[in-house]
Amino acid sequence: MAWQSEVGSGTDRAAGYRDLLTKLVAFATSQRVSAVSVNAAGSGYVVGDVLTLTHAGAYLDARFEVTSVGGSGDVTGLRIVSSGAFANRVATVAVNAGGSGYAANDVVEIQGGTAREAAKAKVTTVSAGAVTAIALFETGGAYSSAPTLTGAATDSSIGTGSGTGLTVDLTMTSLVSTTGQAVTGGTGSSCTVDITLAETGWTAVRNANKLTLNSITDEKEVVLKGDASGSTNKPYVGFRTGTATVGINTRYFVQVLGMVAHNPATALHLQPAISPGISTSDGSLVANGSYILCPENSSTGAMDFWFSVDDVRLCGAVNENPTATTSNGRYFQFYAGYIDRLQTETEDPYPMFVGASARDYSLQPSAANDGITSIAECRTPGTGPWVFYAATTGSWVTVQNSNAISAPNDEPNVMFPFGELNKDTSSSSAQKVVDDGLQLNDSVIKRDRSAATAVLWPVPGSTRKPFLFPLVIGRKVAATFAEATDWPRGTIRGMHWLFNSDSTGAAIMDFSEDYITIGSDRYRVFHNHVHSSERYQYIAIKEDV
Amino acid sequence: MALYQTETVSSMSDFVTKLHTYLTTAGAGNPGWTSDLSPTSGKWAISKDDATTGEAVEVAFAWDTGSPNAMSVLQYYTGLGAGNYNTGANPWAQTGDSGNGAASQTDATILTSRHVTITNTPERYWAFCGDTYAHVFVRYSSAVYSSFGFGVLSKYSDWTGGAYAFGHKFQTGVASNVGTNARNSFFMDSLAVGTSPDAMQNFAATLHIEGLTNQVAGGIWGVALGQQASGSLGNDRQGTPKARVHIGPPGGFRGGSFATEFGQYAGSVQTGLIPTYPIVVFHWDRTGGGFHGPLGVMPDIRGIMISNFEAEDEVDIGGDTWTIFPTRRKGEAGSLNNTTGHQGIAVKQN
Repeated sequence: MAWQSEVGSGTDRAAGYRDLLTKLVAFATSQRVSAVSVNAAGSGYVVGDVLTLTHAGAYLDARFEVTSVGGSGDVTGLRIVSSGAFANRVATVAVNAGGSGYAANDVVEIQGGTAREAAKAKVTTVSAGAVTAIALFETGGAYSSAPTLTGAATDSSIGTGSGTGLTVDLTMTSLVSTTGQAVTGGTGSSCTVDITLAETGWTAVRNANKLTLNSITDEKEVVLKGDASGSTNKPYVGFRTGTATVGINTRYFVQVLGMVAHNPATALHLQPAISPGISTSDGSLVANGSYILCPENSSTGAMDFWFSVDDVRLCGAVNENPTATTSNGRYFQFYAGYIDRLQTETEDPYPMFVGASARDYSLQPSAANDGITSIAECRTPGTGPWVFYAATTGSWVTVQNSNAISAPNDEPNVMFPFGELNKDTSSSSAQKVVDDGLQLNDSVIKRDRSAATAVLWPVPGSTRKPFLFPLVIGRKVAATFAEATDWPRGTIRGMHWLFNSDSTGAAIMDFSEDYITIGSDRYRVFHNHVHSSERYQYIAIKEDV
Repeated sequence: MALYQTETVSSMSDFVTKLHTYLTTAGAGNPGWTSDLSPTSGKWAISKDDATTGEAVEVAFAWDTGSPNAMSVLQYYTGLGAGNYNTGANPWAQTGDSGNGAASQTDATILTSRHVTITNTPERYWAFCGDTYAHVFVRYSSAVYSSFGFGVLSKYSDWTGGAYAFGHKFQTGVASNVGTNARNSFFMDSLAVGTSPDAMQNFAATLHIEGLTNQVAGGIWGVALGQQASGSLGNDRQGTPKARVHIGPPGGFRGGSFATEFGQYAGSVQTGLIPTYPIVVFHWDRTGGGFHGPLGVMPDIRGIMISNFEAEDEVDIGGDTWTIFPTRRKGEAGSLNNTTGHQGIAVKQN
């Protein structure tokens, strides 16, 4: 598992919607720091210091929190707080042979080597169609075996150009060494660390810059394949950047998609069982998809983000509000990949679940809208934005908890604990084995977004903490159970619902992304978008490092 | 570790004697409870300390030796730990008695408070035990079961308490599915409710708990009920105004969020998927409103829909063996009289 948080100025927070996706891809396809230990303890440090490990091959830095020190401030304990994204990357690129048919701003993919993400370059200048200058573009790739350094071939098909024959000369960053690495930050000096690196577990099998949406021709289109060690079937998740013009405003977004296989030779919209939001005719946007909304009217608007990635799924949160304080963040969650299925792989071969907080790409990101709903709430009527793949029917099914408190409030596909399944209510039926009683979703969780009529106080004890409820997808399509199609589908990995209130009714955690510690684990807490006044509208994501 | 035993029995006395011998024999495969009072003259008591939490489970039982139909299930709390049963007092007169369970050995009176139906011709019992719990099922007639138990919750956090005891109250003479009937009480229930004709607060499971929000000073007991009015939760045996705190109802065995979400899936051995749900306990503060917790779960016992199972079926789930019982008696649509339909319980054995 890998965790990365980039918050505030001076960090690697996303600079706009495309950079958000670029960073997610880099994080997923790179190596992470999976363990850290002190090499040289240094002096002058205090508990709580955050130390940064950077490197030429670090697209995202790793950060470590000092957990214990000796008498002279010598570091004796460290904790990973951001895993980093390390790889042997292309550092520089220069023209070897200029080829023909190129134009400025053409994007090409560097060929050769073995990479989880191939490097890209962007043409700077041309002369009669021959490239005369070129620069590295996006991440520099993530290589386990470098391409040839002199005269490496390129491929222009990932971009809008059609040139041929360009070859380039490369230098590489190398992969960060694992021993005696200097770190910066904190109040002390001279600390060095030893690290263990591990693959984060995804490979970019499509990584193009030629998608046309809303008349913009170079939007990003990415498909990642998860290693999913131990599974025969692998998860494929897709992302697209795009814009929508609404009056005088331009809305920016990252779309989240899922599919059950991938053919690199065919268009994204033709991939097998692609999730909702994309026309299977022409790839255009259609209503009711899954979107991370990004700052309005700014393609480079800054966003804080938190990524949690393992080799079967990517998830996290993004604060779309670039000027957020502790009380006005707007948090969009996303999830793409497998859930923890309850059946065997034979019975449920593709336990895919994808989604993001917004169902409509043209929504104003600051709007309190029915179309914006958290992964726990799943309230939006109709298709999306949280969907799972039903292998028995070969279709995507929306997880939807009712948005009404009054009857009918029984739904077929729900997310525990907000949802309430269809059930047999007849007293003459043997299947009536439970009754409503008083449930959390009658009072504590108000599905019509009205104020909660009851509070779920933290677990009693010497240190009171909120209980983290699992998010479990349940499905029951009729009052009478149908074994072929009805069962609990599985658990959302690493994300939980909680009620954020202490015994006095005050919020335990404010909106500034506090965390809960349970044992040795940390869970970062976010409220649900603009519904920040409701104490039941909180999500916790495990900082799995 | 879960410990397990099943034996045939021929009478109330035979049942209690055998169960007592098993529970109080220490060693491999045996739970090693303290013998406070060997079964004699219709009275019996055992106790045990939870080595991890320090919580003591202190329970006692009584039955009518002339008409041994039902057995009272009594819980008390001395604050001194296991082995402090007062042999000079009746089972219902121990220090800190919860008040649930009759102060009598007359069968008719026993039936008016927390009890378990055994009869004097039971057929077989199953005892599912862990280090500090025992859940006992009795088949007292063909295909008809009752259950009782005691132990320490698998607690979340370090709140004071955790010892629980439950009986089995079943309302007979009802033609419809009684699995969700409010005049029943099973395990840590969430649907039992009512003061008349049955004072359900006296039949409900009890839980030792202290220091909860708005708990009356000196109060040490909670009762597992549904939406019972706050003024109808009962008092303990000492007669002092120790208000009981209300344990329920977003959790519990027969209702609430966990049961409603997960208790309706009819798994089967054929599909290989056997969904069960935990019996989760919350504190419902009837003074200030709201719920606290969850407090914990009942250990090694879960609710299950038994559409595709028969009583006493054993299933393997993740390498563990679980035994399945109906809550009382499995019934089918069209013949639900005095049955609990497809409502059931799965219990882990070792």
